[in-house]
Amino acid sequence: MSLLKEWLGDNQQRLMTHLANRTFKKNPNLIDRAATGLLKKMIGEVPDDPELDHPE
Amino acid sequence: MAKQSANKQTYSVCTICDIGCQLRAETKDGKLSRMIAHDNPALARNVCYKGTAAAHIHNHADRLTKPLKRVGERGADQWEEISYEQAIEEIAERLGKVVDKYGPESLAVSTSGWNTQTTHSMDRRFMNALGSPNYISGVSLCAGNTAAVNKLTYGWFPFADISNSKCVVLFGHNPRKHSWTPIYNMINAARANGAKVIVLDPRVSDQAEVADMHLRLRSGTDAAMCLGWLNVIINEALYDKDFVAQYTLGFDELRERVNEYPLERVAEITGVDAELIAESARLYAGAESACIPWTPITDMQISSTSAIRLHSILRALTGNLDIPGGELLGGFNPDYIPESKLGNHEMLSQEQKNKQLGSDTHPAYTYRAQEMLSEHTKRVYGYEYADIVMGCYMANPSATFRAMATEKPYPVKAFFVLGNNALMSYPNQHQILKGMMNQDLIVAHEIFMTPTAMLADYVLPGDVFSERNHLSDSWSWRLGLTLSQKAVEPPEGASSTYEFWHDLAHKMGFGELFPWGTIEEVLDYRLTPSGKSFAEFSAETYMHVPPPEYRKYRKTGFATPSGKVELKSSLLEALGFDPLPYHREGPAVSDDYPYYVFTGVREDAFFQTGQRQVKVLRDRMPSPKLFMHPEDAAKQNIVDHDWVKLQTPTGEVTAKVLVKESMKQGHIRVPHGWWYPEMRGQAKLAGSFISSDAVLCPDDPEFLDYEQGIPHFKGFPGRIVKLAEPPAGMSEQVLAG
Repeated sequence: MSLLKEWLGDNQQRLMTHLANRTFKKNPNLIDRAATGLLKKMIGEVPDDPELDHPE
Repeated sequence: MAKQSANKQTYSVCTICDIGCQLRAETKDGKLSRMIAHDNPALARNVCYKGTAAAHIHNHADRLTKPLKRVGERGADQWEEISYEQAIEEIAERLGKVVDKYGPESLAVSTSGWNTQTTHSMDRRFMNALGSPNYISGVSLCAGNTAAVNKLTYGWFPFADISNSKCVVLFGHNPRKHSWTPIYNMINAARANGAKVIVLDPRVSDQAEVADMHLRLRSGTDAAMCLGWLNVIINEALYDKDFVAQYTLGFDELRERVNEYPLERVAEITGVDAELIAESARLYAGAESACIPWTPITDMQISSTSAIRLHSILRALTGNLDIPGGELLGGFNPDYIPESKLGNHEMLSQEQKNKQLGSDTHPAYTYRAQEMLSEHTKRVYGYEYADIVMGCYMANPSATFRAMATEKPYPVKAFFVLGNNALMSYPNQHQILKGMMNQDLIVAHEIFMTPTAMLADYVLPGDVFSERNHLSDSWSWRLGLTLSQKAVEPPEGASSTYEFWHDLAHKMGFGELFPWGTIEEVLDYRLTPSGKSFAEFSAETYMHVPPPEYRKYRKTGFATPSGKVELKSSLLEALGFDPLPYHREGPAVSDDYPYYVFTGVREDAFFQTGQRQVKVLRDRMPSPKLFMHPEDAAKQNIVDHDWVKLQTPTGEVTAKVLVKESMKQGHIRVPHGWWYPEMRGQAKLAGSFISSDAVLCPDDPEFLDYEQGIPHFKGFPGRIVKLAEPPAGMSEQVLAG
């Protein structure tokens, strides 16, 4: 693997971690909210799953 | 909607199983009302139906709420309620007497860090202050031992970067929607990004059904399969030559060993076609990045040490160590003091460490082997001890229970079990019972009355994750810190494991080693390097992950004696073992015992031996079921839902049969951990000797892995006997379900 490819790959992961950490904030600012919006777009909606319910 | 808005919401790390999914807890009127998925999009899929059943578990009518003292014969399940203070006072006094008479090594402690979430290593701190090396845990059969054996090769236990990987290899591991859910989601994410998935499993498992390649190897032959892969990878020069030249030791010797395993031989051992072995090895080695995530299957075989080392060697030879999509050597979280430090292992004298049970014969995860890495661990990771997944400085369970039963090589006369149904969690349940019946003092710290707790002198009610604050570092396996908030108060008579060890230490005269009055003070102390308090951390975030650093070994070397990846292990050689990996055949099937039996299998509804009393989970799996191939079943005249006995020379299990095409012919799968809480008071120890897989597998020395002393749970001989009638005493639900 070329050094450039290695550098790009490593930094992409670091950037993703920075982005993720912003989405974990409890009192998000504007940038944190934008990060969460971006993550949502990347990951997609999580549909409701009836298998998780426990009707008695 | 108005009703929901009245609820209070907090963040939790679920410990219904060992994965630690992040969920949200909703509480109302001081009670946990429900658990729901996380609101962060990256975490929202990590939830299973066990996790959402937490309110049913935490609020269960049978939860222990008052300390109990035995009043009848041991195991008679007769109790009087006492105060927590009286219990601690009496336990301290009786433990003191045992220690005075037999020495501190006569205390053995068995815990499950999974069930109790954490002890902050205070169990080890207490034991090291007292002078006992005899700590055992279920992690000796599941992840902890893997951590210790990985360290022999490259000094750390990596976590697979599955989501970013281009090739995921599953050795018998079957993450699915409701078991190992985050791993299942990571595999799906990798697949969506174009990753290939290779499954090596005798069964057509859920993962095998959708895999790119499936190799149906004979149970218990993982090491041989890996040697076959290495044969292809080395002889076809598919390995990372630069990495091997710069960072490994023993390549030529490894090549010689691997050449003893030509594909024809490997095919014969594993039962897999040689060309398929070669093709899968090429797919793995040729991937841009690849990972072999930890698997509980390789942990439990007679060649377990070799097989785990072979996974490590494959990772290294293919250049997949510490790269995105490979296997991350994370190290300790720099913001958090690890359990490895809190355990105070340096406090235990060498004389006492030398007494650690099993370390003379099977040292791999004991002090004897692991302390040979101390200076190298310190050099690379900053601490002398790296107790990853709590598994690196343990006594051997079989040796410990033998000492409890026989008093050889010395008596073990006090046994503490915390969040751990020990009777059913290790091999040779009959010997464990014998050992427990020979104790002067047994203390159980539990949330339900288990068969193990029924054998105790004192049973102390434990708290649960919704009742305590915690910051999880995944037992130093992963780098992130995740918040778990106290949502409700525990029952008045309940204590955390920290309170238990703290209070006992103060009573026994070494309270100065436990200066923190509360769990929050422990967390504040652990966060010291971050400059934040627990309150500040939890006000700010529910998770923080340090940005990853890759290929750190380029600067630091590896935490091994040579500083390199030791393909030929200098530690194993120094300890008198074969320094190169090998395949060893498990016990053979015979006319009397014609089937390969594999046990220790987890089912979606339960975690290990737990939750059988929780209706919403038990309704999903009412009874224990063995799986058989249709042709095997036909030979035995067995159809679905017939009751059978599965017999081995060691013991027998009664269960129903499900006939499944997905099973490999000649193999029988046995679920783990079955007992019948509803039979409490009617059957011995609540039916814990009827269907428990822990009675089946032998643990005599000839059946143990040499280096670790791990039993061969994956492929030992057994036979099936069809029963004319269902066993007596079973509930309607068991008979019908």
